[in-house]
Amino acid sequence: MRRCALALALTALAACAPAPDALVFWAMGAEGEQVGTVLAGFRQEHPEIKLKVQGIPWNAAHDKLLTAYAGGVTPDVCQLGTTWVTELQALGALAPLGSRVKADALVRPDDFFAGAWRNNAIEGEVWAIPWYVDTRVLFYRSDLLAKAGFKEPPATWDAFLTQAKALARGGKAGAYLPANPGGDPIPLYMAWQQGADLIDMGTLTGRARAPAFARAVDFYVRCFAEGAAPRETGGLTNFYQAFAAGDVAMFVSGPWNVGALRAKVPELTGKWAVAPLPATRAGGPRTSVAGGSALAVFARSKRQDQAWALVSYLARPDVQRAFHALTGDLPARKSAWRGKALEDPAARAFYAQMQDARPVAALPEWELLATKLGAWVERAVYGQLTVEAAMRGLDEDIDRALEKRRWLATRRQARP
Amino acid sequence: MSGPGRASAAFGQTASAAWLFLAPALAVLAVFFFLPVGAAFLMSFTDLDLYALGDPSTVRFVGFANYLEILRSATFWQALGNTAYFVAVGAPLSILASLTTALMLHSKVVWLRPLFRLGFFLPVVTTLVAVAVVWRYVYHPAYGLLNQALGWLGIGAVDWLGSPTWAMPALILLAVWKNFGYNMLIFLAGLGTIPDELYEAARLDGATKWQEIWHVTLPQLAPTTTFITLMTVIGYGQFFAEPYVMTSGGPLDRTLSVVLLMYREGFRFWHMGYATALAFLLFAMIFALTLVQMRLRRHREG
Repeated sequence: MRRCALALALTALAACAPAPDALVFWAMGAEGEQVGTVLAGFRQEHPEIKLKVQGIPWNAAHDKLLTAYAGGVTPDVCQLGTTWVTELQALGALAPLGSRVKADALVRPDDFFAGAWRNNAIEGEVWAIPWYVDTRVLFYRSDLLAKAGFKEPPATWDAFLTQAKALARGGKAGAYLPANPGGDPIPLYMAWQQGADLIDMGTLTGRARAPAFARAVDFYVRCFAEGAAPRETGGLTNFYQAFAAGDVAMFVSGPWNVGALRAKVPELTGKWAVAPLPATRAGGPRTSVAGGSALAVFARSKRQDQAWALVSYLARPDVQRAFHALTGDLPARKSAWRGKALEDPAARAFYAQMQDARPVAALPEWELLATKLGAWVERAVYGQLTVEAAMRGLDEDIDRALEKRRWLATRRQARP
Repeated sequence: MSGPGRASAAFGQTASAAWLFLAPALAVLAVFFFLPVGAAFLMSFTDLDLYALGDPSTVRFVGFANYLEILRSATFWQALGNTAYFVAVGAPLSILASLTTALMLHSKVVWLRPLFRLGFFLPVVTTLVAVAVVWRYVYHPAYGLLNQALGWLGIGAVDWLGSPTWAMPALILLAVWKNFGYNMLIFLAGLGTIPDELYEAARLDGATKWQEIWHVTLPQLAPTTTFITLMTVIGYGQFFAEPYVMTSGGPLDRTLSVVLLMYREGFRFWHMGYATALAFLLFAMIFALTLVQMRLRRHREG
């Protein structure tokens, strides 16, 4: 029964073969598979650099990065999910890039989406350069909504609930919302729209008990209780088929699903669309999350100049545009958005949503905090606890999880 | 020189030779087993985490705090309850399945025995990840084989992996199907060693087929059964891969096992101190369970 974990560990080890004088670049998932194509230009410009690209699957990437750091075999340049930048910066694994940004005329901070740039700026220093951005929007079956008499996608969460309930008939789910931890923390986005947040960054304590936050969770729980979204989602194993069959009419997700839907269920094209997240109140903010990937240089790299050359190359607007054409990833640079491919309505909807998107709390513990949020919301969704009790439990968990962080903060103050 | 002296000298010689032969194995064990286990034990009294990986000076000695926090955590008790459930239901079912199939394959009534033996053993050598993909379709609420079959009996659709009540039975069924072939082979080997004279004698005394199984086969298989029970309980007590690939421990933590909790704390959140403390608690519990089992057996035999 442990064979699976062992096999994972062995593949992780096998991938660590050292390359003595090459510039090593780790890229994840689809980016790792596709980036080679856009790097042809870089190889032409820098024939002296021996570039070695290593693709890493997303689900093994986080463990592998930490293991590589512990073992002293980090790459020179690495693609990092935005929440990991904070984590690796806290470890002291990353090289500061502030002075390089200032010296490089091609990398202009104001040309990047503000939320994405802010995410990598920690303690007044730049630690990574945004590569591509993503955010969450509402995917919906425009034909099913129209048939039920809704001409427009929901602009408020109340409308979302009404429409989803109307569409949830005869075993069909109106909407899919994650009931279990591991999915998107949608209640958090709802809370942001009301000016609330999960964590008080000043005192490093949980703020889930605050009325606005609890209200957001309460609404989320209602979506399940009133039958707008199913709790049990085993039937959605093949999500694209379920969406095509009309088993699900709405869901919240990221840009990769635009390409995936076009590729996997092409017959559905024209019957679905994307819209910004609904707002909590009519005309209110439609805030969503700012995510994506950034490029970082590791502190231990012996080829800092070459590493920066690669990062700077990948941050160029024309390279980002070419990369978008390959992967569908949304360029992190605003000037890269000029061009035919990016005029498509789905890409435009993401562009609009990016104007109102914010990163999650810049804490190395984020992965844990998001899991805790999911677990306590799940208990409320299943009716095991009242929302109030669940939020009390969540705050206790957060306070415990951030104990070390608070201790480090006081220790830093004590030692000027 | 007197007799006993010479004997002890000879013994000393063989003993040092024995140590010499054992030395490579012991060295490997020391470096790859005792040393890490010792380090992990020390680690379980610290708060070694992500920050400590970057700056070792942030490690704090916390005494028994990790152990106390685990014992106070509702998630741990949930995981322990789930593990107990999995062992208590899964292990007997698995042994029963192994024994039944072994008895059937051993008897001469079954046709095409090698084919069946191969069929029953194949799941053991198939990777769980591949198996999981297929079983997820078996458990699919709308199109799954299982719900189709239940539908013919007039039972409504169940969301096997999505329901807090049914997710664990679904995993147990998968684990039993996946693992019983291995023990079946051991039972078959055990059955092969039972002398035919015993059966002849039983038949001469007029024993029925069931009486033969009850009074000859099972008692003769007792050592094999003890070994299998021990190994199965230990194996099932460490269950991990099934929920890891099928349910991630959900829904509502109903399929979260102690080992999965340990993995999550250790490698996802990098709470190494907490995770190692959990590992030693699990070790202590499995060890105690094994002792009880062995004591019971000795009691039965004595």
